[in-house]
Amino acid sequence: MNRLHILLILTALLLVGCGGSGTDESAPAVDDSTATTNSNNDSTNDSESDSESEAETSTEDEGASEDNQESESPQANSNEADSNDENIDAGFNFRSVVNVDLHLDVSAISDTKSYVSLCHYQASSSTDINYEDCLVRGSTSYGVFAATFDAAPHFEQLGLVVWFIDTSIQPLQFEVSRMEMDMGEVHIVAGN
Amino acid sequence: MTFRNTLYAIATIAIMPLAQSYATEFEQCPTQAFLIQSPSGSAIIYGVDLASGDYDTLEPGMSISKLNGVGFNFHDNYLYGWDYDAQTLAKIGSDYVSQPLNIVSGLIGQPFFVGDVALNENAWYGYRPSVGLFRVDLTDPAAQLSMTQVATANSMGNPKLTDFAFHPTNGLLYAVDNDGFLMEIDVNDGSTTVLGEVLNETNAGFNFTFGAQYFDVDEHLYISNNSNGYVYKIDLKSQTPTAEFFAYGPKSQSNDGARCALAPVEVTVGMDFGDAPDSYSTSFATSGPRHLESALFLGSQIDTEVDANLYPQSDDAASNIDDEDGVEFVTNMEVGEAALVRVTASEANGVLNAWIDFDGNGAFDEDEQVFTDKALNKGTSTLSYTVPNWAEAGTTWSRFRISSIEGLGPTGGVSDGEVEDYPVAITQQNVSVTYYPSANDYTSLAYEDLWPVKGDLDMNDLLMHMRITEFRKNDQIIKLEVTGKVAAVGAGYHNGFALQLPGVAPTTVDESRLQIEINQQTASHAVLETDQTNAVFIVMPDVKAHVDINQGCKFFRTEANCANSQLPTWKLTIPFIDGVAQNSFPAAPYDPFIFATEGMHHGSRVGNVTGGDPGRLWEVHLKNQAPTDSLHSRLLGRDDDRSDPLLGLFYQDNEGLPWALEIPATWQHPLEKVDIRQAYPMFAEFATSEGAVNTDWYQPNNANVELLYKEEN
Repeated sequence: MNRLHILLILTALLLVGCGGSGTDESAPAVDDSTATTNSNNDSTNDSESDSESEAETSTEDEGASEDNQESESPQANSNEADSNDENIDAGFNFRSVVNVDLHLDVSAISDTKSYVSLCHYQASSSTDINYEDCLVRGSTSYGVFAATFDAAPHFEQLGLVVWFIDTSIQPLQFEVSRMEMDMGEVHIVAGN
Repeated sequence: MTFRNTLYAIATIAIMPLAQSYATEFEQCPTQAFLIQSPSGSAIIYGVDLASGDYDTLEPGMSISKLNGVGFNFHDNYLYGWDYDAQTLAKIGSDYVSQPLNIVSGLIGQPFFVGDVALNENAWYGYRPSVGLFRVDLTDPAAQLSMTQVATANSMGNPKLTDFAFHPTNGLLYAVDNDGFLMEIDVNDGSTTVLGEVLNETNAGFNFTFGAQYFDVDEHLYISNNSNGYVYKIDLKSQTPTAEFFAYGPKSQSNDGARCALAPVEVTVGMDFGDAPDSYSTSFATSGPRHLESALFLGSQIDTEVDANLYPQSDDAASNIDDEDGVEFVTNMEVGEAALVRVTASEANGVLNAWIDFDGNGAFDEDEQVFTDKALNKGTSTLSYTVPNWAEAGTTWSRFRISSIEGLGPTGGVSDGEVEDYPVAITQQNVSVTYYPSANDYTSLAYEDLWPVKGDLDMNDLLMHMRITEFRKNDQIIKLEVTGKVAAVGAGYHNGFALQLPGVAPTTVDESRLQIEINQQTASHAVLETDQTNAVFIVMPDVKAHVDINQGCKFFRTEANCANSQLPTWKLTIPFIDGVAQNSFPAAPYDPFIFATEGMHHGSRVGNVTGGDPGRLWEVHLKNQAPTDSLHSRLLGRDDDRSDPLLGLFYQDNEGLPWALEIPATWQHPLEKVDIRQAYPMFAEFATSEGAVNTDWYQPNNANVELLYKEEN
């Protein structure tokens, strides 16, 4: 049985008894508050009470919460879950964005100040820049600009535009591809 | 000879009306205002929409040379005014033919250009400068009438009036004279009270002749200036009435106005509004900018509204119709530097007026106008402007208006064109700005709040949308602006929301300039926790306190048929004293987390560990993000949690599943009690593959959309 299969079975199990917050936990509380008095970082051994609480079955909460809006209780299937652990790597943090270094050099065209915008394209266009939806905006120094940005997985391509205050110099536009983003580095040198 | 001319001939020869034969009355208490002008030998009557300044010609040429002192008679739905040819008061019906009344006594033989009809009695009142105030009873207009003098001009203080209007309820007359002073006149004895100066000619820069003055049922007095057609609104309910600019109306050398004072002035159908915050005078109530839809607009489309959809409830963001599409800020705005903007016009006959709130005071001031009556060609123009040296770095607003009418200010209605409002960022020189995930999108932070016990994995106990703006200079992060929206609260417990900057000490923060706003109001709670190793910022101590849960719903935006578009918003501004080195700054989204609201129950399993309501002793972070110093460490590894601080593992269960997720987009979350793995089937393999596949699992086209919360019921 592969891991995904296990996960799907577990999903079905979860749907039987799961719930959000609102009422209290299902198990009768094990009062170990005395063990933590005076220190919120006290790691005094309370494994016994932990084990007990994991084995509890669902009951109504005894602590009458003013938030008692939801009838569901936290699941009481920890033992079942334990048999299926290690499905997802403990070190995997679910982060899916890519950090990208951007380097731009337009000094061959002009070393006067110019303005850089790295943006999404307009909806249903692969050429028109959406200046309201940029990731990076800045200005060159002696024709050079550097920045970092985070690219989400659904970014297919981005547009980079350089505008010169001297409008006799035409603005430059470049495309940043998904492949470049995945490589974590974008180098653009204009005029060579 | 037409019937109208026949009537005119009889009237002018006999100076006597066919009194028993009147034309049809007007509709009962119409909302439009009547504007009467006499430019060249023939009186013209216009119907004016005060909200937009737009007008239609109702009668292009009356058979009389001039009509003035006109009032709308609420009692019989006719107009009454002074017929300069017949030299007497006349009655005008919907055919716009003047029928002089038979005034047999007291007629002074001099024309009246100031007049109105009362509401609490059926009588016309006229004022003649240097002579006085007069009354004509209109109970039976066909009878022989008399004109009686109420007061002499001297006894009234010789006011310099060009029109006046009856208040809708209190029976008093009000007028603004040609010096800009508001006056109140008691028609019982003509006693006149000067209420104060509401406009100043020197400040306005033009001469005053308010030839047309009207009331609405909400006790607003509208005054129209002859020379430029500017319409001002004065709220008589105010203890200290002032005149605010309202609309651009028709101009003329000779104006007179009449209106049913019991009719409201409402937004015209087909008007475009701006959407900046209302401190910029954006809504109709604040006389905000509004344009009657026409072929002249900015960009490729224009939409219309019944009133402004103010930020952050802009219809551009909330719907698929983004009509703010005519202005592109193609360069940064750096203090003291030139900048470029591209503006697209649909037609060639428009002029552009634009403002940027450079000092960030929440208003568009005169010295913040960047373009004045700039003629635009059809298509896109690249325009240059300068950001002044006194501009304040930060996020602010801009307003762009196109119209065929020149001289537009930042407020007021006009009969064509469009207004577009844009948020913009001003930076110091050589500051770059990085947005996460982008300047127009949000990342989503989804939490389960039963930790350390597993929840139902619907990931909507709290869902926060968040956008990060980093300001960088010389490889230092000098400021953060973090904005957010509460997108869902599917929890019974009360949770707070906070942001930790791992590796950044609280002493690096310029606390004197630290700001938190909730729903655009400065919040009063303590933001920075100074006793932490890392800088920790409390965004909302109790998120649930800020949401309005629909009647019949348990939660906020997590159930079917519980749609709610009123998302609470917040903005956290974090300035650093000397900047923080970019290479030691944490990666976005840093460490956003939830915590238990102080003094609120968060489950007895937690409470038994923490010794009562946990408050800041309970936190949930993204997987493998270390908690703050405040967390009660004995909660780690408890129940279903498999945190192992020695291995750097936090907030994960035995399967490696988290209690919190970051999704780098404005995420459509699952409905209540729907497991994320059901709502988004590709999520499971994304997780088990450690992110090698299905990286865009969160996209709507990868979802079982019937299991997602929808904005429409």
